[in-house]
Amino acid sequence: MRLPTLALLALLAACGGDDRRVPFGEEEDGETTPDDPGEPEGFTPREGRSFEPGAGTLSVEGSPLGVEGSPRALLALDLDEDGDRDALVVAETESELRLAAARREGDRFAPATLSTLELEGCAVARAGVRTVTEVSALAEAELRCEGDEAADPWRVRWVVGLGEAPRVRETLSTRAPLEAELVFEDRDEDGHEDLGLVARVHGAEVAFAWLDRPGGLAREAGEPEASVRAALDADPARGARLAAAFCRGEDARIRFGAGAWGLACPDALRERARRAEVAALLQAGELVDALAALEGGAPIPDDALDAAAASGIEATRLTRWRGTPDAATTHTALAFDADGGLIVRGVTAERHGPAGGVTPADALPAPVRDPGGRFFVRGLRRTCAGVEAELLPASQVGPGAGFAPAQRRPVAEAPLEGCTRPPESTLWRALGWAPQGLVVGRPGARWVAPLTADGLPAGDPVRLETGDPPPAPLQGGRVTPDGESWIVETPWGVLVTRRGRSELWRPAGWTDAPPPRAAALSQDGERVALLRGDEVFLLAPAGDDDAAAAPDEPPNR
Amino acid sequence: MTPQDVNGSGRPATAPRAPVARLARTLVLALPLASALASCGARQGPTQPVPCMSDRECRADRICHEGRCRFLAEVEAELTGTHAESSTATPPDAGPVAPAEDAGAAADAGPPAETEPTPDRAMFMGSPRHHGRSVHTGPAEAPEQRWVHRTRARVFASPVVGPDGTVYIGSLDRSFAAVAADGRLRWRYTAGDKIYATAAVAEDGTVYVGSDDGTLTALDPTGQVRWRLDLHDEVDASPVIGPDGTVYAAAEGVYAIDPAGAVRWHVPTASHIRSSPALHPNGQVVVGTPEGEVLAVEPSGQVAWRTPAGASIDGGASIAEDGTIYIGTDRGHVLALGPDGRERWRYETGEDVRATPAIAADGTIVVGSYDRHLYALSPTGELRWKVATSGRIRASARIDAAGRIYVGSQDDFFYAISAEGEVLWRHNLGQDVDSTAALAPDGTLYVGADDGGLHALR
Repeated sequence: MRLPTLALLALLAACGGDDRRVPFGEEEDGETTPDDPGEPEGFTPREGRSFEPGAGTLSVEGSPLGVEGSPRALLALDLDEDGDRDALVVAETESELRLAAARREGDRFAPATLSTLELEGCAVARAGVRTVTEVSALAEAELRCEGDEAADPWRVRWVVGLGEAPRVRETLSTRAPLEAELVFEDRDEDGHEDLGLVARVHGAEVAFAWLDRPGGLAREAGEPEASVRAALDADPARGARLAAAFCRGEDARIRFGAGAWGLACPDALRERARRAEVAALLQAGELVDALAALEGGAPIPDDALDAAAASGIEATRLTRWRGTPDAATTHTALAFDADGGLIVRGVTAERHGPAGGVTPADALPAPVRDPGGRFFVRGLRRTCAGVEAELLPASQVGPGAGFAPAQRRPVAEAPLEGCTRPPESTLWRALGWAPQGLVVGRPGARWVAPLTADGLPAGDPVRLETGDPPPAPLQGGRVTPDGESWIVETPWGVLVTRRGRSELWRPAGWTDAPPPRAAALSQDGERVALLRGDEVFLLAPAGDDDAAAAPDEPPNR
Repeated sequence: MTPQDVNGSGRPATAPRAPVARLARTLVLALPLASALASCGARQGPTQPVPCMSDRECRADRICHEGRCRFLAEVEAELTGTHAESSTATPPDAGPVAPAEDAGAAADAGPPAETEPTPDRAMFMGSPRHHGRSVHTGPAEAPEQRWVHRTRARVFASPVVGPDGTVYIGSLDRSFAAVAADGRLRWRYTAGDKIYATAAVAEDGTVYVGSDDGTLTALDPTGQVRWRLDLHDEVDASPVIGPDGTVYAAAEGVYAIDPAGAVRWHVPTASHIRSSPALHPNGQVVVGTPEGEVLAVEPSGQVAWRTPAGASIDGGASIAEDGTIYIGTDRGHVLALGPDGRERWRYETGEDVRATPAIAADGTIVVGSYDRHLYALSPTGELRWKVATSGRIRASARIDAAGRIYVGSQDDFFYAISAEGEVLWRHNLGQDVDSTAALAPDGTLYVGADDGGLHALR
């Protein structure tokens, strides 16, 4: 109904305007908005105009709008129904994105800021304003941020309630892969327009609404949590992705208002979703990512871990370990020799032969030691920047070790974003020592730290990419001499990597024993020894007679 | 004038003062002194620095050693019981020093002139002069493959055979391997980037390896790092070792490096050098540049001469007994220069000459071209013969004690050719052969190929 009036005004505008300013001319052809599939009968949505950066000062019918910043979109409409054209404007300053309403008062405009958004190093790629119903307009912008050129832009939408005093009813920001549609309808049939949201991510969908109440829009009770729970019930993997996108955290893809990304989901929902995420990763064979999620504190889906574990791996209790509780010496407790015997070092050292039998062993040096036998790795230390190895002279092996100050050498670059205090536990392990230097690893990554014969740095640590030949020969408990097979023991199983292929060794009854304190891989890559609590276990594929024939006999003293 | 009392010293006596005033004055004088003495007694000596716990806590090129931040070179010297000497000596990983003009007398210690043929040296082309001749005899008939050591990418570098028969080879998969004569892997070193350059092995067994990670690394015979020198540019030209143990390398310029890893001198060039340095009997270091010059540097590091070659130079120079310098260009020319850099003759092939010319015992110059031919030229620049292959020839030729020539081609074959230009046999290695062969005393030929293999043929 207003169209003829607006058309007349447009014609009048075309006659006037200051040549120094960018005149607002003809309006764009109205197009049905894709977000508004069911506009009320008689209502025709109208699309405003968009502008490139640096468009200059906008004027309507010869009067400048007076909105601060560079205008990026404008919709002229009679907000207060006084017969003249007002405007909704999206403008960009150096640090902010602004939504303003400019009411015409005589030959001037009185702009009023409706909402601002900190740009935080981002820039506006596109902006637009349009009406979606008789009482609502939608202003939106796509933002691209520094350092994120490859990612999809994030989209900001303001739902504006029209009228004499326009106001922002809701601000919604979304990022790919989450896509959201806004639905404008009276859901509760109270005569007031409510706002609905349909969000989709990775094939999962959730829909809920804000109901219009005297105090403003109020989100439907229990949503979107109920929808996320339903998605988890239907498809845990998809539900986990939905939860990650909606709940507060680094993967959140939706934001309401200008606060933090994601909703404050209940802890129980977040836990359930994380467990589902890990389970989905395990089901997909993504062992490395699953272990990283568990390392990050995700709840442990024991049944999913059991299902993902390599089949046919048996654990045999070998012997009781009699050693000191000193963590500095514990990691040196196990090592296989070249003949397949397992050296168990506690208060004394004993050798468990591959075919059985126990004999005293010489006090061998620690497994991860340099080729010259002068140094050994006391342990690895996680820092905010990466990983450091603590090196001690070989004479410090055994009870009492660890009291001498260790030399700390950077062995891997692995910065933790936002780290102020490094985690106490880590999945980084010292794998072995090659002539070139120390090789360390964690699930999915290995690094070489070049060291001289004197244990001094001989260059920056180098990451070994998949397929890179490792330095050799490697001397260490967790890797074969050729470097092609290696293990990382974790509280959830042993990740065994052989020739580029990883599998999780997690025999039946894994959760019945404490987490591993030490581990070793046989030099043929076929058997794993673990120290769990005070017990030494041998893990091997079923049918490995050597493992089955290793009795627990006292050493021949 | 009022007479003044004079005490026995002849000095005027001070007027007697009241005891309290005297005490006050004494205190005024004594207090600062007492305070100073007290603070002296209270000092514990210099403030002890907080001991470091990690290399990261130390600045610049220092490491945390025994609780103190110290320069790496100092610690290394302490541990080896030696001191760094040269006035231009720098910590091994500190990069090049000032240009040659500032090197000073300490750097004026170049190699003595070579006057007699030497046994095969474990470096590119078997000699710092790059003549390519071996004192060993290779297979006269088609050999069999005894073994192949596999790497995961192309082998462009040439193998070298160490004094104990160990074969050393670098690969584009970043690995550098020491392989026993029976094919077993002895050890493997992983570089930060691809290895194009051929290694050089010193008489004490030290192995020098250049890599595209910009470093020249010295490894002991067990594969442990002795030192690592950052040259700030890809090191894909093969280093050579002079008679006194000085290592000559090329990256962004030419370097002379002592066995301890200190740079003696550095002659910068406008761009990256791929040409392996060659040592002239007069002690000069000769190298080609991408700008199309042949550059000779005195043992002191001073530039002796520069001769324009007319095109970019990728291959190394080789130097005959009489001091003639032979080098190829990307325009397909083979140049002969005198010891003073003057051009003597120029022979034109069909396409780029990127190989290093080999020099037979009779002075014949043998070199391959991208025009798919292997050329034999007389010392006067006349063609003696040429042999066609089906692919470009990038590899350099080796010549055994019997005068047989061994060279690979990008037609996948490795050729044996008589001194008269007759193809004796050829062995199919499956992919391009850009690596220059090495000969072992037992007659085994070692050569790399684009299949990632180091092949042992006998």
